[in-house]
Amino acid sequence: MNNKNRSRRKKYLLFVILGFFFLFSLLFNIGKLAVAQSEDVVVSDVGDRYIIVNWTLPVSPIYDGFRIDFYDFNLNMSFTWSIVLFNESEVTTDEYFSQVNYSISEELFLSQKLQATNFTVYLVDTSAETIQAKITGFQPVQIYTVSIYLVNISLVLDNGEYTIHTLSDEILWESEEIETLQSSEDQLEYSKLATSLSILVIAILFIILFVYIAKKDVPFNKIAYIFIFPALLALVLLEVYPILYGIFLSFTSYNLQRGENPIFNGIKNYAHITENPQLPIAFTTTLVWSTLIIIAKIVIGFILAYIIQFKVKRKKLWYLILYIPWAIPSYIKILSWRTFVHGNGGISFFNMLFGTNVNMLTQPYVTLIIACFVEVWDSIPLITTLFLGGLSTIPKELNDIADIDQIREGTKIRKVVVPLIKPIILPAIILEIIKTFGSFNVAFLLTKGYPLLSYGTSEVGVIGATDLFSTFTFYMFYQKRDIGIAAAYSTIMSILTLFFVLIWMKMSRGTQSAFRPEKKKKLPKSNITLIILFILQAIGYLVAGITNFRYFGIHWNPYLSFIFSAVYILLAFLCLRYHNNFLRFIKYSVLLDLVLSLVQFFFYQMWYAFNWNVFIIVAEFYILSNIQSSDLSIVRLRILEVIKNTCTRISTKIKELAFHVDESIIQLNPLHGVILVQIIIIFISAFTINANIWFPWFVFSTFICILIGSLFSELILRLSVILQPLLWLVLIFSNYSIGWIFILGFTSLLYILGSMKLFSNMKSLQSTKVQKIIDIISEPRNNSAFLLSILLVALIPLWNIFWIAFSKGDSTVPTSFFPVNPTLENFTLLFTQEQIHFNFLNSLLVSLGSATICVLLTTLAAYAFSRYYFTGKKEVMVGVFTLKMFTGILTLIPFYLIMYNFGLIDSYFGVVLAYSTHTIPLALWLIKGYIDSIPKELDESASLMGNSKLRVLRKIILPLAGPAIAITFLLNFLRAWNGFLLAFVLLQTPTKYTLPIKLYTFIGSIESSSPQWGLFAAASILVIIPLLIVFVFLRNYILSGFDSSTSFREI
Amino acid sequence: MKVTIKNITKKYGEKSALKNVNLDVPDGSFIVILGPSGSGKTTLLRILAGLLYPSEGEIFFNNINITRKPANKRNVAMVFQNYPLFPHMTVLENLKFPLESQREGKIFKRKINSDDVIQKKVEETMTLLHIEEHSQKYPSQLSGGEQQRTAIGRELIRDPVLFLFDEPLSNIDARLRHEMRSWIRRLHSIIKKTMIYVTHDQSEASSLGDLIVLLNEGEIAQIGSPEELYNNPVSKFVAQFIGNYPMNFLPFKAKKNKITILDEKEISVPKEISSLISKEKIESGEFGFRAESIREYDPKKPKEKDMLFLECTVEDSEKILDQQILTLKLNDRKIFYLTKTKKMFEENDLINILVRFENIHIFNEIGEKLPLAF
Repeated sequence: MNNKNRSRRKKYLLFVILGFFFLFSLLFNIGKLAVAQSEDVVVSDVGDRYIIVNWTLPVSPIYDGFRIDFYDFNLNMSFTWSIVLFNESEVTTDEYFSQVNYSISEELFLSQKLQATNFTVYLVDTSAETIQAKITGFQPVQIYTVSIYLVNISLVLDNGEYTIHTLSDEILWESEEIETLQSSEDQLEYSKLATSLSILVIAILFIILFVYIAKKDVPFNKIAYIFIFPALLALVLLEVYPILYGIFLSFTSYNLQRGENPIFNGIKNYAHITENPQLPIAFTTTLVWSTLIIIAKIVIGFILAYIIQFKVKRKKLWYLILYIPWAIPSYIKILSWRTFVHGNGGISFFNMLFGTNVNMLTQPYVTLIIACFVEVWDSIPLITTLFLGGLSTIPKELNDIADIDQIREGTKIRKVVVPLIKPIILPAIILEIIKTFGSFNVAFLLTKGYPLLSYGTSEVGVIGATDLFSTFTFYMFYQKRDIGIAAAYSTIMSILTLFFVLIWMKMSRGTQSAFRPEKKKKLPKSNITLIILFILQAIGYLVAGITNFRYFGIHWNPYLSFIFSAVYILLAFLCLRYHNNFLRFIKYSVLLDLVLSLVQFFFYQMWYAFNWNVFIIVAEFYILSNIQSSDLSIVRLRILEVIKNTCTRISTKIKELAFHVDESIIQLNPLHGVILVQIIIIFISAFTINANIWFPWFVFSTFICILIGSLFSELILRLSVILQPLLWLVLIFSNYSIGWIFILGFTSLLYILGSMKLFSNMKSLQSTKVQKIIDIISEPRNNSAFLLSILLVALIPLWNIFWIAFSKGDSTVPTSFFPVNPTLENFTLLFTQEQIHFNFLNSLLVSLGSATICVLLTTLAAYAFSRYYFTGKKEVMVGVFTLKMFTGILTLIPFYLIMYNFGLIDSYFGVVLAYSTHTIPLALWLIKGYIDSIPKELDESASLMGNSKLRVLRKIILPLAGPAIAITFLLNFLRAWNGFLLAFVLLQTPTKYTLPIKLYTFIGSIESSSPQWGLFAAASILVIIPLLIVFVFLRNYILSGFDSSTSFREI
Repeated sequence: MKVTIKNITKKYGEKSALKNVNLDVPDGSFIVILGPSGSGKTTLLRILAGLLYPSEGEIFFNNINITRKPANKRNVAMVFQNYPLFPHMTVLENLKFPLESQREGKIFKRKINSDDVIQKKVEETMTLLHIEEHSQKYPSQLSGGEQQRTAIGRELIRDPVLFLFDEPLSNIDARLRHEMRSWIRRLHSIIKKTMIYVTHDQSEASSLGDLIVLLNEGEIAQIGSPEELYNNPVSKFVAQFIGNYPMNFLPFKAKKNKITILDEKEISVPKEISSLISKEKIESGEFGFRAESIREYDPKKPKEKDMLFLECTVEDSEKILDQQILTLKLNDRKIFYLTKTKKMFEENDLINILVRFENIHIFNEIGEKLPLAF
């Protein structure tokens, strides 16, 4: 016992020391920062053949200019590089580039170059404040000193040539010894060697490990190892190695632009990142983005799936119609939304329809919401499939019983549907969270991070309101070429992703069969971690309260921080003293903290409320969830008991309330819903356009009155028919845009159909003919209307694209339903001027190549995975699936570098390699599943007949598994055909562009000045049509491939 | 061909499917491996075929160690339970496939046949199997029996050294199964190759095999002819497993030459039994007797001396054609009694039964049979 206590005490001591160390290091860093600024002359950059020097003009005696000298230690000689001379007359210049720049009140100017007989002279305006000179003429990897002199000079014009006469000079500044960098050619050689060596090492290590495991296994399994070897090697080289390489890069100073020899600089990059105020901004945006999108996806996906599964007839037709938008590659979809909403600098079809003034370059909140909407819309088909898959596992009888027992809709969903689908859906949803967290396409293609935030500026650039973690990383990498920093960003992102992946794995394990009672967990030893976390948070809050350091603690009020600090110390004490008796109390207080920290994001200025607390709290929850409450539910203190009782009372009250709401909703007529929708639409429309006109507001209030009245009396509900003519009057006499008229007309139609039903029910019409007609008209129920309206929303941007493609010029705003003078001009231009058929060929080549490699690798591996039980099979399968989470933006940077070092940039082969491994996990699962369904005895008897494994594969398995292989081929083909990011980064010459890149170049990013809408629209149609055909015919197979969460459970 | 299995052990993780199995299969014999499901019989067969690798132990074909040879180098034929015909080939192509494999794969070099020979062989086999009219059909168009015959034919045609049957008849309906059983027996008498047949059906085993190997939980429980297994089980497991009805068991206690059953009721036993029990120093054990060896006590006849007399009540009676199976209750134990009497029994009727001591098997506490010789 004594011993135990002592060891515990030791742990606390260690922890306290660590805490102090942490604090001191913070202080130390701040102190260091303060020193580094008081220099007038700064060497801002050193290259292989140049050195850049900045200086502000000294306030000193009279001088005409500066002479810049450098001393070469190799030759032991001094050289004059050039002279910077003040001159009033010439300020502007036509050149685009100059070695010497100067700034006047923070505006940058280029200096004029003048070639004198003895020196090179740069002319600078007399009012210049700072000067930047890029001094050239150095040799790589040598030591120099640079010195600047203040000079008095006369410039003599002689026979049309200038000569310089130096009158006097005085030294202003001399640099320390500077070593120039390696030249970029040497550097490329060097990194090429390094990359090839490291790849070789990784490959050899892998092969040794592989052979070792294979040797240890039984002899019959050897062939299995041979089969999985190619696929695993490809994954190791093209996926695992880039991840490791990326982590390694994040510790180096690799920068493609500066061209210096990368050195290992420890955690400098990370320190740099944490100092950058843009990280919290990007992180906040990502967090808000993810939460909004996930919630919207789940809600809309569930509603859609529920309606399709239980509420409408012709299920398959709706299903198909819903999926048609999915066949369209997402880059076209996203760009078409940009066309629709933003158009040409705010002149767009959307604005015309609704009379609004949306501009995605200037309005942060609106843009963020639109981007979220587009992202949700992009993935709705997928999430609906997931939910439909879950719903279809509910036995039909259960649903029927619920209907027969007359259980209310809400209760049915809460008590029957959700509990049944939860274990199936949960892992899939976490997978979606991971995807959303790393999503790139929408933020990049739709807005490219715009609109810029005024407070998002730092030395690396400006961050925008829709700049996510991924786009910001991409910006660092692609624009800034700052590989080290970008790699550090993506490493941080990988760690966050890993966190989700761990949760996902835990959940998929836990839900192998839905209703198996879980084994009782042992009490974890993580109590100590919990205490440490609590004390950390307490210190964090304390620091936040005292110094107003905003990354810890709640930013609202310092007193709140102090209170929380006290609470956490109390929690730590409780944990220590009473172990887990107060689990619920601990949970509630941590939850309160979480809610407060998260609420900041939405109420406090959104992009400025970032808080590290959230992570710690989530980690705490993870630990707390491992401790089972049943073991330790004895509550000792009376106050806690009271709190507990209050909590239970509140929760029962809430449940009762929900019940009541349920009850009253069931009594409502659909008409109430329609009126409510109309009220909301009238409100929004009146608010957005002509808020000054009294008529819409009058109608608005009438609607509200009648809605409230109709809740209490059926008569008023019947009377509410008069509202519709009123609505039409508004539409006619106020200045409504066509979009609002259309939407309100649609709801009005719904209302009329609903009321017809209402009246026919009441009067119980005897005439069967009338009844029949009414039945037919009111057939499309509200559910179908809902689906129809969603479909309509999906189709409008597509119709917009269609219109643009067939009309002349680059107008994005349709003026008629069909183009007035339909023309094929855009299409002919595509083939003549743009020669898009070559891009088709490029895409075809890349897709075919990548799909072939993928299928070759996976078929062999899938056969081995299906038929053999070799060592580590399960681990390898799990590993392959987890790898899939980390691909995308995370492996992009290292992958690019590898390709760069091997000279595969701008070659088809690089792109083919990049896409070939992308679908390997999916393909592996698909083919393995299919081979599993082929009786094992078939190939066993074939091999008993004396056939070798390869022959068995060729003669028996390949013919039988044909469909699965074809689908795998198709999936990879489509992935490469539609792939944007990798091709965008790896291909550089326009003639080598694949289709997505070609289409993107037509309109460019959101800020581009001259988008060619017509060409883009026409090319989109060319791309969409074959995809649609393929999709409609093969949809079942393609859809089956996307739900990889189920596959994980089957391993 | 002679097959020798030496110390074969197969482990799946912690669990052992086979524990140290030793077996000699003489050339040309027909051996049946019998056992309940999960006893490891299919595992043993698959190890013989080369589809599974044993954790320990070796296998010899004609004294040549082939343990490390994979399935495709053993020239063994195996007939599976679900008759795996290649679904993408017709019956004719299915039959040709093994011969073509031999030729194209250049395996078993002695047996490379020309087209004519292949054609002739296929025709011969089809006549043997009576499937000539189906030659152009696909497997899915055949009935179960035809499929299994084709599957067997496909193995026959390539002239293997050893035949392995993995419950080949369990997916076929009862009537056809009988026919197929006799057909397999005849096949064996014609080709005279070593055959190893796995089944869980003891009637199939006893009708087919010269020799039955009874497996239990990965270990060989007994090897012998069907009659031996029925009449002279070496353990309680064998006694329970063999026979249409499980053997009845009655626990006894022995103290100082007094043998008691059922709560201290003393019984008199023949000398041989009492001397055996005292010789083996057994304190408690079980008497076992078969339902077929019970006779109803006839009060008119005098009670014979060397018979066990039991007073029971009827719990249930089940009629199967001309036989009746009575479930009798003796204290809390159930006893099955097979009778041909026409008498009808009601529940709770009293009935007295007799069992000859020479039909009684005596098992010690751990279920081993004591050697009893009258």
